[in-house]
Amino acid sequence: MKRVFISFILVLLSLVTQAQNTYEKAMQEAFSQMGKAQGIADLQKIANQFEMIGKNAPKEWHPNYYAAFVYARMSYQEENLDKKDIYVEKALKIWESINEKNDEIYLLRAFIAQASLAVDGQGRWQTQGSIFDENIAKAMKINPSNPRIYYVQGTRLYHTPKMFGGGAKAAMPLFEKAKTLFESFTPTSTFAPKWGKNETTKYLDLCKNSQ
Amino acid sequence: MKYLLYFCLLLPYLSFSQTTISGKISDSKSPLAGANIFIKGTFEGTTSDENGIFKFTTTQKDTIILSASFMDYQEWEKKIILGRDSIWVEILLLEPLKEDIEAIAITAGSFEVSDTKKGTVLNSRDIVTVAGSQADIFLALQTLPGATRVGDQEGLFIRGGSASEAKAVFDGAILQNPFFSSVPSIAQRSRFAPNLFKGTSFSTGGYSAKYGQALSSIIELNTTDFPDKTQLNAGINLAGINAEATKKWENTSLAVSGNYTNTAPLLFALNKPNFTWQTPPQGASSAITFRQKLPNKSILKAYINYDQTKLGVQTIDPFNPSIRNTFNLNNKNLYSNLYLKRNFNKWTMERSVSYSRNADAIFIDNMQIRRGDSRYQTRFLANFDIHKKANIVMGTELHRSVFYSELVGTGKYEIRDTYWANFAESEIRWNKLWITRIGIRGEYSSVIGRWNVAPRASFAYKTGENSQISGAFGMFYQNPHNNYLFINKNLDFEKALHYILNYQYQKNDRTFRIEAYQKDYKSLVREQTNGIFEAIPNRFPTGLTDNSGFGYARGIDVFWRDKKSIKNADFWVSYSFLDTKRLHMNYLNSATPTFASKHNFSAVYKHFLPDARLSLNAAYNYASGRTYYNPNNEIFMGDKTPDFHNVSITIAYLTHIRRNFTILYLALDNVLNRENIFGYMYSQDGSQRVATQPNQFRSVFVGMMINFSKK
Repeated sequence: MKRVFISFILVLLSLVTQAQNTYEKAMQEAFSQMGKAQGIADLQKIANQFEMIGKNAPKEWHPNYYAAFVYARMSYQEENLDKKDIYVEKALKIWESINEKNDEIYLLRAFIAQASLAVDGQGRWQTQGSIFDENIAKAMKINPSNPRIYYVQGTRLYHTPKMFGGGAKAAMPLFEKAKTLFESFTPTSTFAPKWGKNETTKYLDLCKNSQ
Repeated sequence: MKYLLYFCLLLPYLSFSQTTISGKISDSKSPLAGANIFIKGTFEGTTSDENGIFKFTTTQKDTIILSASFMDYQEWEKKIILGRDSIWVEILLLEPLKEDIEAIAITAGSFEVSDTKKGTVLNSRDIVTVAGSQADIFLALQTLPGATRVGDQEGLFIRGGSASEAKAVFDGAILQNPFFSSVPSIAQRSRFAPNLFKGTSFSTGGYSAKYGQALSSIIELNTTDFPDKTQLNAGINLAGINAEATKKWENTSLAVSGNYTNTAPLLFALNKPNFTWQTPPQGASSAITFRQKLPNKSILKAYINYDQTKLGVQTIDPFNPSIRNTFNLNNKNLYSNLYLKRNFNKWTMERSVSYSRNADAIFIDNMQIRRGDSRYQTRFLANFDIHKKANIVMGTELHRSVFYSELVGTGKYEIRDTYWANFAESEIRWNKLWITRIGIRGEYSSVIGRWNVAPRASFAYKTGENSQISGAFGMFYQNPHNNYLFINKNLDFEKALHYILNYQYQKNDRTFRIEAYQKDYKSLVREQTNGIFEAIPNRFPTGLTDNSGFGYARGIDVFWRDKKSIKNADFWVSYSFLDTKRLHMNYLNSATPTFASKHNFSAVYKHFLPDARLSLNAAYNYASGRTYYNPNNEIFMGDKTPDFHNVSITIAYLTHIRRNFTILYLALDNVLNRENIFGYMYSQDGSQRVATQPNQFRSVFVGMMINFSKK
């Protein structure tokens, strides 16, 4: 009987690890897809995957983080203003369902606010602009050496008209700082955010070329 | 036994046979691409392709819950028994509820100005940047169809209605004195700064049962909710200086503002006024705004404003236009409002309490007049969501007001009124295409001791993806003008019936609207005239009065706005055709009133030059001639003034001063220096006349605003 009991435990254990593996596997799968994604239709698939994983693993913050992040990216890619807004709203809705509070999550909120600003910068700079500032400040307070903070801040400044203190020249120091920090940056876990490095280099080139 | 147990334990591994789940997902119109379909509680699922087709395999057994979702569509779930190798599922996703509400809304007679709602025609920034509006909401609203441009009197003249037929509502409470006190022949500004409001609902007729006491129009002003940040705004311009400091905490905010105006040293020195001012307008005001966030997105708002102004001007003597009277005015005004909005699970409630007080001390030569009012009002409104697609709004309001007018040394007239109103209204979305709103309002006014019951109804029907038709009908009552009530308290309510039909097309930042209306006026107050017409503005009628007046107004309003066609530009044009006649007040015959123009046209253009940091705004207003009384003409109101034309330009330069966001602006009004005429005043024998004209023709206004906030 003892043996039966042991094998019962073993099977049970293997089932648990199998469940874990499924989460990891699903995340891995979505991750590899994200690297290859091109266009809104591809991104929609990935957003769906992350959203599904998020629903099934409500304690993990990564799936919803990426689902919201991908929707914000879809908003940037979309050209129709109404659709842009629908993606922003969806990103925000998923972001609001994340329970965890850390620098990456605050930064993502700023990233979403920026997507909203891209729809109607003139009309929204007061509301969305201050949401952006607030969340950047919160992220900075938790982890000032997160390179994405400076990358996202840089893009915001880069796309702000010169008259409001923006432009390539003003944004360049931020991209430089982001670049330095990216070089020494190591993600804390397998699924921890690590985006932004290539984009930083691209923006840095844009800044250099505009001078 | 043993083997059986092993067998059972191994079951999960043995059952590796697969089921293919495929199907099609669509909404009521077409297949959905990109929808998320998965088995609840697993990581198995897929995304639908461009034809709404999806397919995936599962190793699950027995019963699963298949779940589908897409953007903000309503989520779909279904129990499915797996038993075969493959399963086909047809999924119908229901359109998002919210989208539904936004897609169809009643637009007949209503222009909504909102920053938060989608699909509204204008937002509050659009309003303040209209050239020639002088940052005055009411002037900006005059560029919308339905409003007549009347330059010698403040107020909104909507579709043949007089200024007293339009009421402004501040967070649910009636604004007794939205404008600075009247001066004969010179229109006054509105008292409240536009940045106080997050949204405005401008009704040109057929408005909701939530409001009353306005025969023509309701202008609903909703104050801003919670400020964005702690900041200091300061402004300086040709007419004065102002500042507002806002402090924001987690759930509380407090703003204090002050304003000092004096037109003498700069404004009137630079722009020579047509009137002779012994005391150019000057005054000071201060306001406190408080906000408290409450649980469940509820909010408490408190606002108090006090201002004091004085002015003195030479006005045309109404009996002998070659003589000037010395007119002096001192005004003190207090306005306060407490507003509470609470959200509960199935219902919301709004409560407003407001107290206002206004006092004018007027000296005309040696005559001294005191007039004023006070009003205490409380309003309670509850909104119940009785169904996902239907709501009921019920409310009650109680006002106690006192109005007085006294010619010092002769006697004082006073009215004390208790006004009580109840209303109920229900909005039902029958389906995605139909929406109806039916309401009823009952009012009682103690000063005349009468009741009225006013039904209201409106609908909207979607005729296409971007178009809809909307209609409204309503009965509207209003107390007779105080000047009549002072003497005769046996008068009845004045009454208007509105019939409105509207078509709206909205797509990609372009809006087209056309609206036809008919308005019937009944039981308007009429004086016994004995065939003599006194053409005196601000006269105090003392004769016999009854409710035998009547009238009509009908016309067509057209509006076109385009934010898309020209890059960085936004423009709208509006045209109103108005045919109106009425027999009221001391009119001798039924005639087109002096405040109505047959044709009104406005074009508003805004252009933003990002590189030059410039915002260029221009506006053109046209109003065909208005009637005036000429004693030499046998036809009553048979004469018309020349047409009104006005071109105004505003240029704003956006910059930074020491990293503080700054706007410098230059406003030119009546660029072409046209000498517009609003009417004529005749001597009693008709031998002489003087034209009523604006205080300034071409005028220049410059100013600066700075925003200080923590960087």
